[in-house]
This record gives sequence, C-alpha cells and structure tokens, in this order.
Amino acid sequence: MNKVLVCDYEKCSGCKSCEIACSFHHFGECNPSLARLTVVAFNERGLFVPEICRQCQNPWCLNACPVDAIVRDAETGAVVIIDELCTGCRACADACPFGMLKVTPSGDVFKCDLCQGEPACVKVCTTGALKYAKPADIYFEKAVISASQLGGAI
Amino acid sequence: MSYGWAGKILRVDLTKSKITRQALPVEWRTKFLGGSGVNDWILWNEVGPEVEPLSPENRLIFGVGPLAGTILPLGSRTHVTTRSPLTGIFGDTNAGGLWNCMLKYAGYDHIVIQGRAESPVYLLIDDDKAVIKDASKLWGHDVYETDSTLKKELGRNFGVAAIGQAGENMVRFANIMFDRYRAAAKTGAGCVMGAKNLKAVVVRGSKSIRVAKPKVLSHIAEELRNSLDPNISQGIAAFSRYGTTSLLTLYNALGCHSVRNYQDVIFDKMEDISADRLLEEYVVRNISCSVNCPLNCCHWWEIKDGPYAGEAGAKPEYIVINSMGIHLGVNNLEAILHFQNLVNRYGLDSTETGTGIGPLMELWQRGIITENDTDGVSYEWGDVNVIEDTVKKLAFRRGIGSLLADGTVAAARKLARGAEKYVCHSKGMTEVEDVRGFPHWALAYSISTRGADHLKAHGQIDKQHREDVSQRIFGVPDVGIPTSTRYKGKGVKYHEDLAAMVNSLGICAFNVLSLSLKKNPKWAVYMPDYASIFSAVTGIKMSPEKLMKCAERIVCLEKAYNAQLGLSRKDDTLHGRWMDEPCPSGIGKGMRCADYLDECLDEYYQERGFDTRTGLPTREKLRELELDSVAERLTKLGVYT
Repeated sequence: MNKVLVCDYEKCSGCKSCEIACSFHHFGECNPSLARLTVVAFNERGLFVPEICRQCQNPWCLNACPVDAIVRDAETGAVVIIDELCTGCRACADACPFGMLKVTPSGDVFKCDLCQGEPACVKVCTTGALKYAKPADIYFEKAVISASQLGGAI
Repeated sequence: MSYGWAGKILRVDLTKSKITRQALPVEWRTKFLGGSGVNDWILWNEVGPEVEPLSPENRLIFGVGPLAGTILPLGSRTHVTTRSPLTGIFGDTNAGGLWNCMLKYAGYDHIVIQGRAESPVYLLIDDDKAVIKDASKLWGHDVYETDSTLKKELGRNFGVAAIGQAGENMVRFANIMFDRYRAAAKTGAGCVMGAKNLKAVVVRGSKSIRVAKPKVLSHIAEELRNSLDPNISQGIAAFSRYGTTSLLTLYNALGCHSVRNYQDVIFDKMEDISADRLLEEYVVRNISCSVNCPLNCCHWWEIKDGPYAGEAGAKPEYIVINSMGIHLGVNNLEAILHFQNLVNRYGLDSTETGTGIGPLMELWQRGIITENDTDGVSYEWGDVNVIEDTVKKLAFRRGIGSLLADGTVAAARKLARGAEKYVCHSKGMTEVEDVRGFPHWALAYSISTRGADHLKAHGQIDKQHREDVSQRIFGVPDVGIPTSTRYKGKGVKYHEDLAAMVNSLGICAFNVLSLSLKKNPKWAVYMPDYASIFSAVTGIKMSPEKLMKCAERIVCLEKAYNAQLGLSRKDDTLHGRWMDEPCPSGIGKGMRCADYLDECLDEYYQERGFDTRTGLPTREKLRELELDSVAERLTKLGVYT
C-alpha cells in the first residue's frame, strides 16, 4: 500500500504551520481558509485536532461525483479532482463527512492531493503530529510503543 | 497589491457608533514598519498631553506586523498601545493568540478605537463586515466565560480579545486576554477598554496574505525552520521543553528572583516549584501561543487531585511563578497554577497583582500595618487563602482591593507610613525580576518608556554568560558579563531597538532571541539579517542600515511621547530597595543600583546620541530620524528650553 497521511492529535500544538504551508504550496498565498487540512482548536482543553483527508478506500467524494471528475492517482494513491472535468457542483463536499473538500471564493472545489507524494504540511510539523508513511510502518511503531509500556508494566 | 501588510486600518468611534476604513499609508510602512511602530505613530498624532488615559479621547490601538501570519516560523504577535492609566505615560503591551492572524486575514493591520459606548458593547469583525454589538449579556462575566460564549455563538475559528471583571471595574492594571490564555498584560490596556465600555473584539478572516517574493521567502523560511527545529538543535529543544520556566533554576543560581518582596534574590524552596516538577507532574503537552511558531514553549497543564483537582490551563510563564509565587513566599505549585487561572479569568496583570500584595505582606511582617488596614485578615507570607481573597477583592475593587486597584505605587502612597520604601518600580510600573546585580537590567528598567519592564530591552546575553555573542555583536565581551557595568549602554540600546523591531514586524521575541543565542548561527543572528526577510515579504527594498534606523526611530518616538508629558533624565531611574539596599546574595551580592546607574545612563544616552543632561533625544537626532514634526512639537511645548 502507498504511504498515507496520518495525524496524532495528542502531539499537535495548534501552531497552524501546516495550514499556511498548504495554502502557500498550492496557491502561493498564506491563508488557512485555503488549506486542504483544518486544525480545529479546542483551546479551553488545550487540544488541537488537525482534520486531514484520509484518501478513503471507498471515497465518499469520488462516489458522489456525477461527472467522474474525481479519480485515484495511481502513483500516490491520493483521491484527486480533475479540474477540467469538475463542474463545481459541490456534491463531493456535501458527501465528505470530514469536511475535507473546500471551495475557493470563486467557487472552485479543491482537496488534498498529497502534494505528489511530498506533503508540504508534514515538512513543517516539528511536533511529529503529522506523518506521511506506510500504514504498516506507522502501526508497527504504535505496537512497539504499546508493547514497551506493557513490558515495562510487567 | 499589498504584500505582507493587509493594507488597511479599521477605525471605530464608540461614541458615534461609527466604523470607517483607512488605507495604511505607504510612508508609515517604510518609516514605522507596522505593529508597535505604526501604533506609536498613531498615538503620537492623536493622543496629546491633554488627553487623560481614561477619557473617551484616548485611543486603544491594536496592531499586527507585516511578517505575522506568513510562512515565516517566527510566531505572530499582537501589539496594543494606549496612554497608560497605570502610569499616566506611554503604554503598550504584546500578546500571542490566534486573534492577530485572524485580523490580518480579515484584511486589517490595525484597529484604532476611540470614544466610549453608552452601554457595554463588543466589536465583531468577519472579513469585510464590522459591527458594534450589544454586550450586556457578557458584561460581568470573566474572560474564560466570555471566550466560550462568543466562540459557541459565532464559531470556533473566531479570535477573541476580551477583558474580565477587572477591566470592567477599571482596575488600572487590567489586561486584555487574547484567545483565553494569552495576556496583553502591561500598562492597563484592559482598563482603557473597560473605560470605553468595550467587552471584546472578535475577529475572523478568510483572505490571503500575499508575499512579494515567494521563492526567496520559501528558502528563508526553510533555513529559519531548520535553525529553530527542536528536533535538530539541542539548545532550541531545551527552550521548547521548558519555555520561560527554564529561568527558575538559572535565576536561582544567579540571584535575580524577587523573594518575599525583594528581601532575597534566591528562593530557598525552589525544589517545590521547579520547572521539572511542573513538567513531570502537571504538563500534558506543549502548545504554541501563536500561529507559525515551531518552539511551542507554552505548557498545557492539568491538576489531577487535591484541592485544585480538575483545574487546567495554559502557561505559566516564569513571571507568573515569580509574581504570584516566589514574590509572595508561595511554594505550593498547584496554588500558583490556580492563581494563573484566577488572574486570567478576572483579566489582571499578574505582575502588578503580585507586587501589590507583596508590600502588604512585608508591612505586616514588620508590624507597620495591622488588621485595621487589611479588612481584619492577616497577611502572612505564603498564605494562599489570603492571596486568593485579595485577588478577588482587587478585581471588584472591594475592601483592600480598592486600595490596590489603582496600582502598587498609588497603594503605597495611600498607606503612607513609609510603605513606598518597599515598592520597587520605575515610572510607576513594577517588575519582579531583581536587577541589583545586573546592570543591563537595571539600566533597561530605568530607561524603559513604559516603566520598569523586562521586555522593552530584553536580552539574555548577560544572564547566559554569552561573552561570545557579545563579542560577535558588539566587538567587546562585556555585554555578556552579567555583573559588569561596562558597555551596558551599548547592550541596552541594541536590545531596545531589537525589541522595537520585533514588535513592529509582528513576530515573537523568543524566536528571535533563540536564533541569536545559537552556538553556530547561520542565519538571522543580528538585527540586520531581518532586512532581507522584510524585503522578501513586502517587496520594499530595505537595507540593514535603514531597518536599524526604523527601530531607532520607533524607540525615539516613544521617548518623545513621554518628553511631551514632562519626563526627562530624572524619571529614568529606579525606586525602592533596588537603589540603596545592597543585593543580599547571588553573584551580585553587595551591589546597589545607586552606585552605578548614573554611569550606565551616561553611556546609554551617548550611545543614543541624546543630551546626557536631559536624557532626551535632541532636535538634531529627531531630524536625522526624519521626525521633524516631532522635534517641532517638542520645541513648541518648551521641552528644549
């Protein structure tokens, strides 16, 4: 399986560097509302949860698109919009339960395309909350941490 | 097309319920940069000596800088400027929070608020929409409640700047809290907000900040990020982990805490409240205070059991642990964490709160005050119940709280009986880091335009014993020798200018200082390095010399503001035991500021090109800085006769 973008929200500091890096990479402008991921701040609990596109195995957005303008990129596994085909009907945005399809002020729909395999958001995340890796590696690392704690307890 | 700056000033007249917009003049951008610099220029032009701090004509000016909210990993900070109701002179204060970037994304660099609303209101800004709304339901509620209510009603992506009950009741050192936990604490900006009947300024924006040279800036940002990445640099990792609480141990080794109202400078119970204890027992994670900061030096803590079980919050900074802890002889860390929330909720500056209670405890210790002065309660060192009780009374101006609510110096004057001797301050504002053994800090507190303060010329070169950095910047090692009085004028001028630049560009002092203290610096060590960053963001050509001049201009404008109010060299001094009582311990044992301050002041004024007799910028200096109209007004007011 391809690498995936994952988020460990316990590590997120809420700095929003990822949002700005994302909008800067894709639009050349600094603007969290043009980012393809959203850090939701629960600052009364000191908690920040980045919502990211999960590039679903069975994508709501892809299934909802009436003109087949959303496809899976063979190389990265990202679910991407073919801008030339997109009609801007926003059926995909309505279908996505994570709110990860967004609309520019001029009405164009956009979503995370994993930056052709080098996500700009991950590069600027110094806390390690965002990672781009193979699922097997991510979950093995988790198992190691859990096992270490268990081992320590025993 | 505006690069870096959003390009607009929002003007709000609360008396007339009128909101207007003004373009940010290009000349202001190149002369004053943004943030605190432009704020200062607006204050100078609109708040003359005849305008009393609590009159409707005083301005409450919010400013963000051209570098904030961009891809630069330097943090994003808000500057608030006003004529201070605590000191009566120039006042300003700085804070983090999401709010400042939201203001830029909404399309504004500054908000200038004047007048007074008839009844409580709040200002709502949502991109191009800006309206004055009724706040009668919010009035009387604390900062956390106000933040929650507004975010619940409007949305989690709004930035909220609010005052608590202290601001409503016009406590003269009430603060403005940004996004719940970040305090614009100093000089009573929250009191001015309360006097204007303004409960909160709420803002959200969805516009872009554009930069002039994206490719160049991209490269600069990556270099800076590598330098500031805690995963790469050991020094940065330590600051990232501890934040300002790292100073607890350092200052105990040096001797510059204020223990039991400056009676000592080394805290004998430091183990109980150490940074390691805080981190191990209470901190859940580190968080960032503002947008685009890789340091994440702010702590999120939770208390699991005991009398404060269930409490949680952000920070505390070193200053709070000193002012609400060490200064009052408190060695109960959980109580200090609780006090942090308490002052945040009411919207009180923790420094002036602590320095108000400190003298009461010392006067009690010495038998100078009794139950007759204190609503019948005793003021023993470290008594957390009496501290809690006093803070509550203070926010509502009840009982002894009404004595403290006009500021520590005013309270001592009212108490008489020699109480003033036990208050350490400059120009009417107090501070809690002891300066006696540290000439850089003694000088910095004395010449600060807002009164005694550790941030207006903040440097750590001396306290970190960094003779190497001193050599690099000044060509002499002395600025890095903490107890030496040599070249401290040079060091203070540099750091005062640096702070003005940082606050005007809208970035964080800690990121800038962290870079400057790196062992093997590659980038952005000196002030001049920021010229190329400024150019890449704004597209305006800026030479290092020109940028240094901007910083100097901003500082001199603040000096001129105070000069028109009658201030001069006689006010650039310290009061209380800092002056004439020898430092009791630490590396500066035996030192008194009175012994060396004059000599340091002479050198400082010479470095600045000021008149050493008056301590003021000369007319020639002001003209050299293209502040001809400032020189003219000071001449007309008779400052130079």
